[in-house]
Amino acid sequence: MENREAIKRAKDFISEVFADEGIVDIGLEEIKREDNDIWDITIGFSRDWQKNRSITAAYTGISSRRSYKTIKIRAEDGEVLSMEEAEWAKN
Amino acid sequence: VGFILDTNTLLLLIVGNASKAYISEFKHTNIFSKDDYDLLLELLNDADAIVTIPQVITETSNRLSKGLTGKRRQHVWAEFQHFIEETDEVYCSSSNGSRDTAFSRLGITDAILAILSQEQHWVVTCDAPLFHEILGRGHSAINFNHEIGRKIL
Repeated sequence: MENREAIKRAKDFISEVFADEGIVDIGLEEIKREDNDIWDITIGFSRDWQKNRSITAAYTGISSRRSYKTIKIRAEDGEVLSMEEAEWAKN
Repeated sequence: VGFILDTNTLLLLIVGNASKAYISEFKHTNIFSKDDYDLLLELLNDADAIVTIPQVITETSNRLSKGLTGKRRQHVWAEFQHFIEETDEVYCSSSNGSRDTAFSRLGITDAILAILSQEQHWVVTCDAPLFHEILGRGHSAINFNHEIGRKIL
């Protein structure tokens, strides 16, 4: 599985999991490959209701709150193995 | 606007310049595709200038020194030398870098890149923590992953 397939798989997975939360601005943030077997794809997104409640967003349209999830994908078959908050976004 | 390539994007440029076929074969670039290399070239066409810093050159050298042999190594190192000879360096002392708030979190190279981002240099990186550090300072940077992601619907 090449990087673009893995990225698409991760974006599709996020869209499915958070489908009922009105997520928007879904974008790739980081790609890693710890070894040849596993892709770590970090996807960022915002929730529509968070954007609407942000005072900043009223002026700029840019959300001040954004979520970052790292999806582990098995390269061999595209199976999603796990999803967790991106390490660098925890602080 | 002058662009500074972070180590990860510079590796893609150097290895891709040598041969696009090497990108998927080399440990430090195999997260990228040939299309990503073309995308990086497109992005760099928008730059008024490309500059570099000694710390990025050193990190790039360290990574290129392992995992490449024979003809591949010759091609890649010839491209690396060409880049070094043709690219202006900008400087920030390690002492200044070590006093920056990012030093203990991100290391000396990223701390210096963050400092230089204040001087109208746009850092092109695949490193999300560095990207957010620069944006948090109110300066400009390009997360190359955003460019890759936009191509994937």
